[in-house]
Amino acid sequence: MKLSRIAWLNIRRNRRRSFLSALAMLVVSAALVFAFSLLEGMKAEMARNVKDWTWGEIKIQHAQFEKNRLLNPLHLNVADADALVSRLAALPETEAATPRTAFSVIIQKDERRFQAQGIGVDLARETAYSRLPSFVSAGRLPEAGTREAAVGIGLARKLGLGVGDKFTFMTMTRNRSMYGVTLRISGLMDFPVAALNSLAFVLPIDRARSFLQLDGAALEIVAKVKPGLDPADVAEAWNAELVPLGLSAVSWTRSSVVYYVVSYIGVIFNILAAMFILLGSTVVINTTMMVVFERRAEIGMLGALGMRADELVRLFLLEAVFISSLGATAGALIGCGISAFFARGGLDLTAFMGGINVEFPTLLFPALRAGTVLGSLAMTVVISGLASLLPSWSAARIEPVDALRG
Amino acid sequence: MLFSISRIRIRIRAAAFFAALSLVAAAAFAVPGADELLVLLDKAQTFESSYANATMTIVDRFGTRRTEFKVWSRGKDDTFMEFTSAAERGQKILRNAKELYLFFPDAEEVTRLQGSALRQGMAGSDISYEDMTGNRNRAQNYTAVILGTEQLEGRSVFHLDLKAKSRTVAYARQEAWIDAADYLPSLIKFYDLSGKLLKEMTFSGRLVVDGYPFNTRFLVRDMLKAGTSTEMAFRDLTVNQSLPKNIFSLDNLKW
Amino acid sequence: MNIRYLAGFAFRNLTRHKRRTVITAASLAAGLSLFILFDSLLTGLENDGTRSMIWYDTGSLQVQDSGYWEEKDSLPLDRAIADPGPVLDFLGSKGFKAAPRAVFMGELIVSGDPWTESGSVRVRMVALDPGRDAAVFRLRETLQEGKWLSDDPSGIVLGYQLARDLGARIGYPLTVMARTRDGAFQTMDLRVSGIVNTPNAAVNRLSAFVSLDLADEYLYLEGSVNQIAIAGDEDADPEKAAAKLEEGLKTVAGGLSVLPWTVTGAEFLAFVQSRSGLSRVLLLLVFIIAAVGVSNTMLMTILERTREMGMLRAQGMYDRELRTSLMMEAAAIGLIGGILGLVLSLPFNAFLVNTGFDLSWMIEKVGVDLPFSGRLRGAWHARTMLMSVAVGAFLSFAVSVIPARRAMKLSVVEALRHG
Repeated sequence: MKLSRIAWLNIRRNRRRSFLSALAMLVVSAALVFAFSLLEGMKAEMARNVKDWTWGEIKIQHAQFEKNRLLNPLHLNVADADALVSRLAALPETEAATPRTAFSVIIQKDERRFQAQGIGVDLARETAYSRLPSFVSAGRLPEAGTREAAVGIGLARKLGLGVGDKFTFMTMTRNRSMYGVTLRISGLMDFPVAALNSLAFVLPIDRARSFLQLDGAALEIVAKVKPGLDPADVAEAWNAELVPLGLSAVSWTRSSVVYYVVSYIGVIFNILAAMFILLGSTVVINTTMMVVFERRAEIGMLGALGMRADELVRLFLLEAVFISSLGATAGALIGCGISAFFARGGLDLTAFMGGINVEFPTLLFPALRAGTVLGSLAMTVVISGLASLLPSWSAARIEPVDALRG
Repeated sequence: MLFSISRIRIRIRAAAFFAALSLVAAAAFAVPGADELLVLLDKAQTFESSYANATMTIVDRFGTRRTEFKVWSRGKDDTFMEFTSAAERGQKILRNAKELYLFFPDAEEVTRLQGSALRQGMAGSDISYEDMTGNRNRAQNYTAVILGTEQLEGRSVFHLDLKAKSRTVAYARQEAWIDAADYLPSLIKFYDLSGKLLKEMTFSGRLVVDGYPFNTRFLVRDMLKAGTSTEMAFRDLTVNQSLPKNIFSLDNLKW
Repeated sequence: MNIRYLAGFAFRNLTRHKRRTVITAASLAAGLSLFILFDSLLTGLENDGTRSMIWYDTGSLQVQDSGYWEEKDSLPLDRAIADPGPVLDFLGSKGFKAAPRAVFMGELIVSGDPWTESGSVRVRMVALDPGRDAAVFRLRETLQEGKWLSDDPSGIVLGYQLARDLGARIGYPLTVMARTRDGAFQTMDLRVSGIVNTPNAAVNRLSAFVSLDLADEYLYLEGSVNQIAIAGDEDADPEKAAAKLEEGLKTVAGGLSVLPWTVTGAEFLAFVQSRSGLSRVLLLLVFIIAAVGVSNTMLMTILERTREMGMLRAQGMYDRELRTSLMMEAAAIGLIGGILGLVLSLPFNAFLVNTGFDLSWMIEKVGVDLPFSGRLRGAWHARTMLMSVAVGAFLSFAVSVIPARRAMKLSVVEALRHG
């Protein structure tokens, strides 16, 4: 009889044991798939936040700006920003591009002073770039040409203001003189980056330009490249033209701090993933070993009936592989199902967090990657197979008589 | 005998006359005490009311720029400024003894500056809001010692050394060169507690308006940060004319 | 039913099937041990963020004059604790480690030789007492170049990024312009004596440190300080601790507030994306996996002994007694596994907590200040450790209930035939 058939019969013969074994594989596999999708989701979110907000996928600034950023150098700007943005957006490698101007302000309210940051944005282009409208949690975005702003929910809470209220702030203009402005809150923003929620407000860039005295300029242009392209290469290609203009394009993968923060987190996540795998392995190993050990009498009998040691080992290997494949596949499917379910609406972490800090983004979107799913599956099966070897091999070496004695 | 008595009377009268004349002469050439000089210095810069058009030129490491404004003042403490240059058009500043208010055309509220906020440079210059209040109040804040008389730009000046009366005064020590004739400042140096020279203020463009002497220009140089300076130039000066009513009020600020 | 007899019976069963006991307990131990380590790592990660703030900037608690906090942005020296002595004595008597500090605004002015570029930048000046500061803050450990204020109290120590922006090197002279407590201008000519590179990016970019004695002399502080920072227990509730201390301080001096790090560090916290939600989900998954391991093992063990149990029942043992002894066995294995797991985790946990994973090679490669310490550390989390032992025992016990009962349902004959 073929070994595989015997293996299959064995499995069916002792349903309960097989079921338990497969169940263990299933749970492990499902948990691994889900855990990895959460980690991947977190990494993807961090990368997205950097590309959308913190840096941009490619950031174009005046070449001297970064070096002097402590001095708030509005004069080190990107001149004629709108024309440049239009040109960049029209290039085949560009997915989206938009100008931004961020400036520090001090908001005065009831004898108290609050530090904040205003961000002048091109409302039309920003929609394509960062999906800005999707973060409005109350009211609406400011309209171009108005004295309105959309304020981060944390900042609004600090100020004790809501939609329709006005706030007044002072900032330094390009000419290094102070200027005061009052804006009306058109809406509240729930940004995916916590820092923006508690410090930032968004307003139309033309309004920002007028009181900052930046004619047609912007402090930076952020751009995204089409999928599949390396932003660093694109940035280099652009620099050929930008550098003579006194500008410089830097990809987020080459930005000194940002990319390494994300990579650092990536390493941490890999360590966590490794521990998950280790844990899953212990369960798989334990289960498989136990199954084999408990059947030593059976092994003895098969030996007495003339089965060779290597055949025995192969038999148990096959059993282990069958069961773990079934269990792991079922588990992977369940894991994918759970991940896909949460990938749509997001997993709300507020239930898991102790504090009531509303300004932290609490929705996590798991990201399924074919690689990790297949990987966890394969790993479960392989480890289970390997785990069957030792006990079946040692069991096969015992004299049938001893084995029968149990 | 008769004409000898009348000669004696003439002589006595002559002596009395010359004695009186010499007293007057002595009074005319007497040097005021150091503290009195401070009072005179403050007075020379203070008027019941004054008005001028001013241009401020600011030089720093980023380049040169100019702002223009009209300024009204009353006594020691009240000042009202309205900016007329294009970049600052519509901005106003109101200052009285204790507080400072800023008005910006795009802001619906008036900003009040107090305490440490007063230390910022006005319109980004080397002259802080605080400096604006302190320059006419030396007698109150300093005791003086006269170091001597010198020549500066062809004029006779008193050289004074000023020490702050209390530790709350911003500049612990100043050196002032005051014009001997009209008590206007010619040069002032500002020092910190450890004796380091922080700023230098030079005055020029002497003009007499309605009988009052004025410096129409002064230049402030920051001695720690090389290459930064602020120059103020005044023109169309009028003094002790009646000013529009309520010019030093918050309502005026909002207009 | 004689409990002692059953216990002895259970114990003998355990020793009889050594291999089974060992494997079961070992797998339990491995699973629970990993759970403890995972939790340790995740807690350490969470702490990493808040630690970089507490260890280098705010301390756990801060005693301040009650008027200070609302003016904190202007770094006022006049809203100060006029006489910190009694406060420090009080704190010392209660076993708190406290460090007085005077924080003020200063402008660093550099020009001429040997600087390549002239300029000035406004920084947050922190005047500290090097002796006391070391009990609360870990700045000294992050010294990258030069000397700390304890070795050179006449110099100024700069944050790494600040030094880089200015082009500063050890020994370069600079001038600090500040105002005294009463408001008079004062300049201090100092030499750069050290550079610190902390995990706190804000400190690296915006702070400079001088000794409190030096600041007191130049700025006429007359012994006053505007902050007294206190080291605290990481696990304790900072807000409760702050409230309690504030009450206690009323006996010493009036007009003082005590602020916890959740308040003094609120702005910094906004920059640390909260990963705690994710950690807990991950921990839950780890727990599920571990639980599956435990349950599975116990279930299989019991199932495999159906025949044996049938035999015992045939020999007259009561069902109830058998069930009880089975459950005791299960609980015992669970307990052993749990304790073994705890013991097994100790050396690894100690390594994680004390040494951790050194990822600073990433930072050195880039030469930049990452907002992390570059060292992934674990944290002792007593609650988790004890919980895993309890869970191990309880879970094994719970899991054994149903199969034990089912085993009893089989008739003796069927049971004997099983296997």
